[in-house]
Amino acid sequence: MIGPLALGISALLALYLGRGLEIWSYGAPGSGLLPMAAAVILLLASLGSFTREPGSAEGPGNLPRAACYAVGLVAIPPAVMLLGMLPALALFTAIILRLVEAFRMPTVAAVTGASVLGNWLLFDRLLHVALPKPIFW
Amino acid sequence: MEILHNLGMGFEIVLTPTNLLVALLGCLVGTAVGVLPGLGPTATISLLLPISVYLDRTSSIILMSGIYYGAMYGGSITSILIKIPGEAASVITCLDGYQMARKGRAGAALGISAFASFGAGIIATLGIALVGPQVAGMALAFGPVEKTALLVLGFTLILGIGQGSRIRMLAMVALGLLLGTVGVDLVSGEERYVFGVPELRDGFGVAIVAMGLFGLSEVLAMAEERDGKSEILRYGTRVRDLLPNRAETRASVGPALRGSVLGFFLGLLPGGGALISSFASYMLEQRISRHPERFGTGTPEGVAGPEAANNAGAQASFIPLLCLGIPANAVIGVIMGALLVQGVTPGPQLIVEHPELFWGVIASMFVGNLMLIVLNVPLIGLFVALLRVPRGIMAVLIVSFCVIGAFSLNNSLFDVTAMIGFGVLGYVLRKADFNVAPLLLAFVMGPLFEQNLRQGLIIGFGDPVVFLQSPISLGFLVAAAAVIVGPYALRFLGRGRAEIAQAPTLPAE
Repeated sequence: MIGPLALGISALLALYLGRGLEIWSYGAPGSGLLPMAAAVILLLASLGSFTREPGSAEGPGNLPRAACYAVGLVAIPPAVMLLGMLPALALFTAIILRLVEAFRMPTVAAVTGASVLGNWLLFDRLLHVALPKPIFW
Repeated sequence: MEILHNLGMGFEIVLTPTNLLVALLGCLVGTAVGVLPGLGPTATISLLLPISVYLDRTSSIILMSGIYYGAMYGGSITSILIKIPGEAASVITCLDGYQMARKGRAGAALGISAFASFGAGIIATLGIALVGPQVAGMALAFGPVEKTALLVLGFTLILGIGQGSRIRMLAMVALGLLLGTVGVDLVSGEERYVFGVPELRDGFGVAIVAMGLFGLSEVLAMAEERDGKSEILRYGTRVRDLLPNRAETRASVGPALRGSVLGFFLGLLPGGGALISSFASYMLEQRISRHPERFGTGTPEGVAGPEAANNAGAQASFIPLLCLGIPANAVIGVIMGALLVQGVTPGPQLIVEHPELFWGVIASMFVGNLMLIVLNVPLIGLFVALLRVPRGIMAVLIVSFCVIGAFSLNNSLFDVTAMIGFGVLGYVLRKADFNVAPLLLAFVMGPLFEQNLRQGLIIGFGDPVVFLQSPISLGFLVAAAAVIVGPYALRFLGRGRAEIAQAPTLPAE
């Protein structure tokens, strides 16, 4: 139920925020034609989705673990600004593997080290991507 | 003769050390992701989009096409040995492949799968070489009116033969279209849903959306699942053990050939591709078999047909992309994104403007299929060992790769944030039983649709009747209406009811 509801609200928001866009101007379609049409279709389809309960919906699974990952992901951009790209990702990897996946420390250290080294070699050394540095660098 | 000349040019391009290495890498990575349940070719190709920018455009498409058809090979390995399909298109192979393995014929099942895939790959590649230029030649006559109607047909095919509830797929198509409108409108210069954020003026990048929807949402889905302990059935490791016996060979040849042809034609349809091809082939073989009751008990026909069809379907789905500029499925949608990132607009002009890309990719399919048959047989043990890597380790490695990859596209943290947002969105949508593949396809096709629709309406002085005046456009629109109305009409007439009831259910990609 939450999925169709969220989509319906998104459609209404899109209609509201796009109200200033012209659907038709100078005898031709305006910039608002497709966004408005898409928002209306989204609204109608999300209303239609309420009445049709899916038969093959996935089970609940391990939602707390997925939620931990999601929180970790959301924390990555601010951590990158503060610590730099590779240290932030190393921190994410270590925290997830140790606290969420409960791997032993040697495994955590080995995977984190290999991940950082591999990404540094590929992106920094080989592809010359200017990875963000720590704020105090 | 011209085709032979062009193929010769393609082989000259692909037989360079760099492109051979890229094709080999694509085939190996593709087989590996095909083996791993969950991580499919769409997610993998999405993850590699940032890397592809650093490659020559032909090499990057060779890499991605290798991953796609390599995944078709790899998906069957786990279907046969542990009854877990590594890839959605291999679901149907579980039915007879696993039963063959339980009867002690695991090696033969793997061999039939590999040889059927190889044969289908070669047939499909020849088909692309023969049909592709003809389709592109016809499509050169298409103007905005015809292109709009063709895209409408594409959307309806996605809804008509895609997997899942139609109304939910329609919602995803609409959301994809809506997301595709974010940014500055190129005709009027007006900003749409930009909210004063400068990074949004160019809209969301295809790579960012694809990496989030398929890569990161897969990580969240992985986080939910526990590592399963599946028993791997014994299989022979010598080449001799993988050769089917005479009776199995005789039983497999016909289904493999029929599967190749069926898969090729189904792969041409937008919304089609490997998954539908494999199911259709299984149903066809069961229907024409003298012993339909043997299907599901370990019959070679049930492995050869679907495996040939999924490989042929995967390769044929390159024709709508390269010749018409329409992605047939989500994997091809991501590959289209790679082409756009490289500054190449797929469509009928591609074969004229970038013949090296078109023929190079076709030649790479010959070479790639050969590499797969030579390498996969001795490397099956190595690929099976990948199943022992814990999901948690794989998940964090994918996150690191995604984050740096997204950043590297424009050196922008905004892209990383947007990708994470799309990852969470994709996961939530999947949990609510929405298939995100139509979202990506609509996101990719939306701007093309809008541009052609507006141009078409300008040509017709604002009158939509212009879309009914061109015979080609009218034909596409009639076909689109048939796709939407057809199943209901059949059901109303009572013809399709029995078939729909008996048909195996398609899994979500």
